[in-house]
Amino acid sequence: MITDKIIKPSQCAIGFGIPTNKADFYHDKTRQDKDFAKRFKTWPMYKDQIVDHFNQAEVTIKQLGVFVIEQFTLDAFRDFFLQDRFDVIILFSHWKKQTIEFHDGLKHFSDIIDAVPLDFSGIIDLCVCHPKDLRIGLDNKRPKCIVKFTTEDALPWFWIIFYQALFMYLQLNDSTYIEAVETVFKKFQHASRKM
Amino acid sequence: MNKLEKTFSTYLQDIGYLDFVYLGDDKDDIRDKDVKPVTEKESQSLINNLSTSQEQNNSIITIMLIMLCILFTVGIFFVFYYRDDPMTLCTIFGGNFFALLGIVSKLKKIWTEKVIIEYSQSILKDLKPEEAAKVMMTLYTNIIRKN
Repeated sequence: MITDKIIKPSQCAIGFGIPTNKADFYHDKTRQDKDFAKRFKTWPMYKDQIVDHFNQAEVTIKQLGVFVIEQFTLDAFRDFFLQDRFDVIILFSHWKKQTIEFHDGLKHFSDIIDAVPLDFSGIIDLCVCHPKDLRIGLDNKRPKCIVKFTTEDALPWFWIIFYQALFMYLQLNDSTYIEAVETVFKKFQHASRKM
Repeated sequence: MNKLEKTFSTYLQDIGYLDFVYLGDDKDDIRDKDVKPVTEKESQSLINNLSTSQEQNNSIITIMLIMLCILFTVGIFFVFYYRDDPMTLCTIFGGNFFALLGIVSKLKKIWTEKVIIEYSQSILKDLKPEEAAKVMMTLYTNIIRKN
């Protein structure tokens, strides 16, 4: 069972569907089938909230052995499952009206469910805000996999730092993914209360 | 947070440049009409606040320059007064040196602020408020907050 399995960072893959560099940011601003970049008034604002944190975390995350993909497309998401080497697949992106943003555009949640093989028994970690329909769809149509999601508003920079800490925790401890998420999250809450 | 950082962050908060964006939103599409434009009034308000900071910085610079002159004069006085007592002279020289070091490092910080303020004011006066706001955001995130 995946819930009892010890997970190491090399068994995890994370894909960023939102822009992680200046060129993609400006490109997305002009595209009809994109949304996230348009919510930022300027590049410095985006850089401050996303890219600076991402660049800082990316180095550590890659060193720990996590498979990181920028410009994450729906096909790349599908490939994650075909490679059959990841127990945890993290989708870091933006949810908007039944769709999730990928590098190749906003994709309806049913396409994302279709991309997950029927027999996938790993963990799909949805780092997006309020992906209720996707979660319910995955729970019903892909019952073998575990779906981790958040009901809170997800601030991107917080989650980038969170995942960096999570992978470090997984590297240093023999822990299941769910336990690690809970422990690291509690530590973050504890730290924020102290501040 | 120092005073200059606070002045900039207040302005950027007022124009919504420090608003957090979440990874999910049920809002409709963002269109240009939904984005509140930066107005001349907001630019002018920042110019005024920066002018106040500049006046304070100018006063501090004057005070520090006077202090530097006094320290130098006192130093010279002690050199003559204790010319036959090398140990005391060394102590005075050390104290004088560290006091000068402190004043100069503070002066350097204020000088940087002064340049940022003058640069910002000229941009705010000459560029459209929306364009100037972008430069202010860049200055804030890349220079002011890191100083």
